[in-house]
Amino acid sequence: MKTLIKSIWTSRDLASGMLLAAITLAAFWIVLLPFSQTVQKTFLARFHLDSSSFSIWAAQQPIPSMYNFENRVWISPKPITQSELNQATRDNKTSNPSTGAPATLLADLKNIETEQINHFPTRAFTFGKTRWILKQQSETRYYYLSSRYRDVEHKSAYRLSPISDSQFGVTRLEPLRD
Amino acid sequence: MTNHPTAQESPRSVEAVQNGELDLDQLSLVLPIYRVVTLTILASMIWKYAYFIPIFQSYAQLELSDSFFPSFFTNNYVLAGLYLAPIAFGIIALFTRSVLLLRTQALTTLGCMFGLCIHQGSYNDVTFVTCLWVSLWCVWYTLKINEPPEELIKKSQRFSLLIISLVFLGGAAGKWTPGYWSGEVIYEIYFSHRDFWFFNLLRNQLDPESLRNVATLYSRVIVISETACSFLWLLKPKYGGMIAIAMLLGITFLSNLLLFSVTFCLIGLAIAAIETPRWQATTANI
Repeated sequence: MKTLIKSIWTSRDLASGMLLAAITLAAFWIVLLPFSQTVQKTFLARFHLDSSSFSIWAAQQPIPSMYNFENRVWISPKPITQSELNQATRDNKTSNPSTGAPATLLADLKNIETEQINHFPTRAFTFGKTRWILKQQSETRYYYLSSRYRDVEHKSAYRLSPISDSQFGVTRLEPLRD
Repeated sequence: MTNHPTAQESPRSVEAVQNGELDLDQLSLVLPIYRVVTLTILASMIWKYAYFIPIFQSYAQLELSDSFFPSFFTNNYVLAGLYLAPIAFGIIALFTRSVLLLRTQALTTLGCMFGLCIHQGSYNDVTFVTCLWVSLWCVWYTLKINEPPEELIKKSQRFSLLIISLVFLGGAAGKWTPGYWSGEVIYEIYFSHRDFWFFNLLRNQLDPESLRNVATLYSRVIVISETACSFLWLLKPKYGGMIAIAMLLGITFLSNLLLFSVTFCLIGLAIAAIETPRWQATTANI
């Protein structure tokens, strides 16, 4: 590594210097995660599409963060309270293991369903087959999201309502408070 | 794996190196490594194909109107273009010897990967993050392709391991939480209902309590091994690359084969770290 840095420095190798700087910058930002609540909040907001602007969110997207944090989504056909949400979590924890469809892929949603998500809990309604499920049910759904890194938790809530046969609108709601 | 001279990489070029005439056909000496890495980016993208088509169809049937994303990054045609352009350019890169075309290909791939990382339909897919870092390596490699081959290969091996380590670091740091250490997160994502041979086998063989204990062990092994792999850059490239390949294959075969789209391109970088081109080995022995 020393040789690489020395070689970049002595030969004034701009391209290599820039690549090394990009890697170092990303690594430095990641290493700060356990130590800084500001960095934790920034990472968590990114996972909820809740950064202060699209540009700030986009600038963070190259930072690797697969299977990060404890992310959970609750999906309901109607608005819910924090106690209903807690009850759904308890029910889920006591259920037996099975290969049934996860909450995000339930076409016929009658109750509050919950699921742990590997990363970006907003994927519960933006990504892949979940949109197909929205279209099939074609009714308003409420998504309550939580991501936690140690003592820092980020919550958000979304309403997805049909606008037309081929379009749903995403509305950000006030997140539930304990 | 050892490079053998191809139709383009004539035995003459190997002789040229042995005679110290590095400038004569140095492209033939450094291009095979680049092609291997490009091939693995292609493999990552094409592995995604079977999943991407139904996803794309569902997006075409239902648009999401969300003010967070600029409309350009919600458009399905943009998504298709960002996905297909790196494949088309990647195929060209496997055959061309034009440095200008190789640089264009690397830059286009990098731009498209960044686009995929911020598009509403693909932002959450780690495939495009790993491919982005590998394509950044490709941009650097094509910019430096006129450097003395031995120098270029040495640097490329170092950068390969640095990028692989960065990806592991990103995965590990977010798992330094009680939920991952207790195995609760992994239990719910994989062990409780994931339909995959490994988890089906465990569910059939174990009672719920033992299954929970295995999930804890599995999760801790992931946290520790990913953390350890974020220090791969400290090792000799050959050993670092070998450990990276073993780890990436292990993750994929024991959790989800779709993850090959994430790991293929990193395996390409690991091969670049391991590989000692035959001409280099030969010159070292002179």
